[in-house]
Parts: sequence; C-alpha cells; structure tokens
Amino acid sequence: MARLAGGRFPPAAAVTRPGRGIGRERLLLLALPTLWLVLLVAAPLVILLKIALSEAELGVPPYSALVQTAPDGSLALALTIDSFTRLAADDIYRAGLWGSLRIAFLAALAAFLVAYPMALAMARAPRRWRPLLLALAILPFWTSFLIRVYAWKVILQGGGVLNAALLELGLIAQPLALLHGEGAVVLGIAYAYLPFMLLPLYAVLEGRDPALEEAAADLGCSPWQRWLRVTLPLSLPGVAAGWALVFIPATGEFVVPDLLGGPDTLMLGRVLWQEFFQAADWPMAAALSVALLLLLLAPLATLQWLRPRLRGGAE
Amino acid sequence: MTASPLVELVGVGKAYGAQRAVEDVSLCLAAREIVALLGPSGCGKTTVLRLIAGFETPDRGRVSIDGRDMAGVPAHRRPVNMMFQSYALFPHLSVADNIAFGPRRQGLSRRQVAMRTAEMLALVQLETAAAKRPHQLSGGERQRVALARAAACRPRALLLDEPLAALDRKLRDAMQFELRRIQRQLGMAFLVVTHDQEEAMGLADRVAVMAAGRIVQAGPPMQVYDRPVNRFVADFLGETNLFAGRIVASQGGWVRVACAELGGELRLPSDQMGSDCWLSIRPERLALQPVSQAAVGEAVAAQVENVVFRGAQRHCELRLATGRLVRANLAKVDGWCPRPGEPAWLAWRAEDFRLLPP
Repeated sequence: MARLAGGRFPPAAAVTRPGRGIGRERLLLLALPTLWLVLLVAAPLVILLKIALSEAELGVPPYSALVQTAPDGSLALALTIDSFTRLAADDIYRAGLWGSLRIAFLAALAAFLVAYPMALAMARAPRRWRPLLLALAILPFWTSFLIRVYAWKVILQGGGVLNAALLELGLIAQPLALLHGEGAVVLGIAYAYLPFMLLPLYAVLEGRDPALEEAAADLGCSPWQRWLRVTLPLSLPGVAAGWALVFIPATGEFVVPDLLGGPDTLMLGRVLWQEFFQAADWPMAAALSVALLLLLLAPLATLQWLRPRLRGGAE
Repeated sequence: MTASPLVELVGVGKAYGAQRAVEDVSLCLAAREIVALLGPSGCGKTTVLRLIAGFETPDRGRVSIDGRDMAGVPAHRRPVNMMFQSYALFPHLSVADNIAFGPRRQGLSRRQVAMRTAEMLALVQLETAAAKRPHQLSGGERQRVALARAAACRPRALLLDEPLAALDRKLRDAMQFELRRIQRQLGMAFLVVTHDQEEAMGLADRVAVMAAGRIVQAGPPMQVYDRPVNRFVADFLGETNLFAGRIVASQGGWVRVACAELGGELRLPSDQMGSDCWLSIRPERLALQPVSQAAVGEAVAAQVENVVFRGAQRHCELRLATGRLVRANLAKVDGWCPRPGEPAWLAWRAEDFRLLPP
C-alpha cells in the first residue's frame, strides 16, 4: 500500500531496506484473512483432530481429555488411533465413505452432462438474451434448498406426480419405486448443485473466442470433433471448477440422502449424523470427518496441480 | 489446370437482418493468383471471405470452388482454408500441433503429418519455435504460425483476412515480400482482404475495390490506380487531389473542362458526357516551379504551407488562391524545393488528370 501511495517510485525506506518495507496497512490487510483462516479453519481442524484421537466416554464432553493425570501425579498426553482402526476395520464406515464418493461422483457427472449443453447454449445465444437465460437458470434457487429437495419427494414417491402421469399414460402398470434409492439421491444432488456446475462452465464458455471454433471447422473438423478438440479442452478450467464445487460438497451431503435416500443409501453425512447424535461417539464422527477430508485432498491437490496445465497458457 | 476459375462468386448477396452486408458481388480467383479485396471497414469484404469459407450462407447468388457449387457444403468440407484476422491459434496446442491440426483431420499418416508440419515450419522459418505455445510468440511469429496452419492442408486457394493488419509498419513491409514468396513456393491462389491500399497494391495481381457491399472496380493494381472509375476509388486507392469541373466541349474523344480552381480550361482525352465532373490528379504528378521564372507549361500560383521530408519524397501542402489545399509529392530530393511560406508555381500536364463522373 505504501508503495502504491508513493506513486511510481517506492518510498526511500523501501529502497534502502528491501524486504522490510511491509507497511502497517499491508500487515492489517494480511491480518484479517489470516485471522479468519486461523479462527475458522485451522483451529476447528485442530480441535476436530484432537477429538478424533481421543476415546469415547460417558459424560460432558463425551470424549476423553487430551491431557490426563497419571496416578503418580505426572501429566501425560492421551492420544489414541482407536477410532481410525475401527473405521478401517468396520464395513459400515468404509461403505459410507465409498457410497459418498460414488454418489457424489455420479451426481457431479449428471450435473456436468446437463449443465454443459445448457452452458454452451447460453453462451451461444445472442448477447442480449444471455442475462435473461442466466436469471432463468438461477431462478429456482431462490427458493429454499429444503423445499426443492422435498418437492422431488412429491414428484418421485409411489403416488407422486411422475408415477401418476406414467400410469395415466399407460406406460407402466404398477407405480415405480423411484424414491428411497441411490438413483433418487443422485438426481436430488445433481439438481440441487446444478448452478454450481453451470456457472463456472458458462463463465468459461462465454469468454471463448468463436473464431477458434471456426478455425477448427475450417481445418476440417466436424461439429463433434470441433467440440472435442477445441471447445472442451479450452473449457477445462471451468469443468474442473464445476466438478470441485459439486463433487466436494456432495460427498458430505446429509439432507438429500436423508429425504430421498433409502435405508441402504449409505453416505457419510448420514453415518456422521448417526455417530454424533445417536451413538454419541464423537471421536468416531470426528475420525470419519478427518478421513473424508484426507480423501478429498487428493482430488483437490490434483486439480490444483492441473490448473496451470489446463489453462494451456490461454491469454 | 482447369479452365474454370478456382473460386467463383456470381451475384452473391448477404444480409444480416435489415443490414445488407454484401450486395450482388461477382468475383473470380484463378489458380496461383493473388487477388486483394480492398475497402473501408464495414464494406462487406470480410463477409465475402466468410461466404467462401462457408461460415455464412448467401441469400442470393452462387459460390463455387473448383467448378463445384458450394451450396449446402459445410465449412469443414470445403477445399479452401482461411487465415483469420485474429489468427485464432489454438492456445492449448503447441505451434507444431497447431500446424498439424489440419493435416491430421485429412487422415494422413503420422509420418506424413510430421513431414508436412516440418515442411511448413521451415517455410515460415519457425523450426525453433515448434514446441512453444502461441502466447509465447511475438506478433510476427503468430502471424506466420497462422499462415502455416492455414496452408498446411494444401488448399488450392487460401483466404487471408487482414493478414498484416496486426503487425507494425516495418514488419508489414517485410511480410508483404514474405507472403509473395510463400505464395509462389506453394503455388496457391490467395484471396486477401485488406483495408490497407498499400498492402493491396503491394501484394496483389488484381485488386477489387469494395464499397457498401459492392465491388466498385477490379483490375491490376496499376490500372485501378491510374484509371479509377470514380471519386471513391481515386480517393481510397492512393492519395489524390480532386477538383470540381464542368465539361464545356466534347469532340472526337477529347473534352475541354473548365475548372475555376485551376484558373482556366484543360483539354484532355475522355469520352465522358454530361456537364459536371471531377478532375483527379495524383500528388506525384504535380510539379513545383520557382516563381522567379515564368511558369513552364500549365500552372497556377500557390503558397507553400508545409513540407514534410519522407526520405525518398518530399510531401508538400500548397494553398491555392481560392483557399483550397493541394498535395504535391516531389520525388527529386536534390531538385528545387520551396520552403514553407514561399510562393511557387503549381504545374501539371493535362494528360495526368483523370476525368471522373460526378
């Protein structure tokens, strides 16, 4: 800030003492986000890890203390990986983790397959239509998340709108069991998270240069090849952002599987809820969270690593 | 070699809504020929190129390439390639992959594609930049990659949209020669769209001047420059001095034109009818003589306003007695040259004037 305020030439102090020219304003600016991250991300993570490494107990709080007094009066750190070993051994937790990843992946894929053509159509629409189309795409999300998910219940259930319509048309003889299954959960999540896929895709596709697609056509590409070789590779940053914004929150989704899923739809959000509220096993719930976090770090790190390469040095 | 032209447009028209971009354009491009489509921005010249490439469909008329009607043939099946004004290089591909893009779609073998790419890289002297991405190149290098990519498919005709517009002046001059060399080496026909008259004259075997969606005049550059058909062409292709005149007599291919600003009547060969007309003379056809002597030939007195030294030429601005500014370009650097503020005789030869319709 000091340098900016100083115009073209840095103030004398910054010249004579390079590296120490961090002004007070700059420190203040840095302090705010740092404080935010420490208080609301780092500290809770540490607490979470601490709970994950403790033992479940009856009492308040329902886990063992970090520092314990031995009978001889000395203090000792009490850490145990008991929760993690149970997590690894028990099928239900692994099934929950695997179910979360699978359902989140399928939901993100479904959202991608719906959102990409939508985003492309919006980006190719005449310029004056685009704000309206964008507003229409986002409009449903002005209603409550819960109500929208609940509406799918009304649509999908045995005597619901969809089954009634299909029966009326004579396409089916018996109502289909659409609700309370993995399919319904995938559909619900894909629908609920669609804008998070749509918006980054639209942003990157709207900024594309139409001349590039024309050049591809000119050099002998059919419309399909044009999309595969030019449009898609150039929109990869948006695809990556969309996948991250849908896949990652979807893995921890609780509301949709609870409302639309069946008893056998295992997702980590539900398992966590059960551990926390029903079994009162906080260390297990914390261990599950940590495990999910670690599992998600891998794809996130990959995305981060891919990003400069995906951009392909686009100007 | 086929007798029919490589690219032929007959009575082609194209409108965008109420705006008529191209009206009744007919144009031929023969094999191994460079034709420049020249006109001010918005005259429809790029639309003509896009109609040939297949990015637009004509409302009227016919576009044929190699004798084949192109109606209903999509861009990716047309045997011509285009070099885009923005170059439109694929930012996610290396220079070599950009150039190989077209040949790969043609179903050539891996070896053939590699050979073709190496050949094109050598042609535009970019062998060392093969692995670079477009954003790592200079403007001139990008221009050459765009050219190499468009020519890599070996089209018989290449469409170039303002190929030199984005380059600075010096590079532009060098690239004109370069483009001609490459065109001869590849034996392709070039259709070049440009708004720059120097570029058009320097590059093309034939120039077609466009205005408001129509081709106003087409022919070899020298012919169009020396014999413009109207004021617009005279003014757009090169510089000119225009004087309002009146035909007072016409006989046997000669006319007498009265022109108040030139202080009398001129006699010049023309069979133009009517009364009102324009007289056009190129600045390099005008001469200056010192007022200390009597004028030689036809001349009027003028006041020198400005002299700009341009290396090979001196560009002079002179004011006539009527207050009118006239431009004279003097080629002889060692000859007599007036200073600003001095009077001089502005002299001409009557046959250097062109008579243009009103």
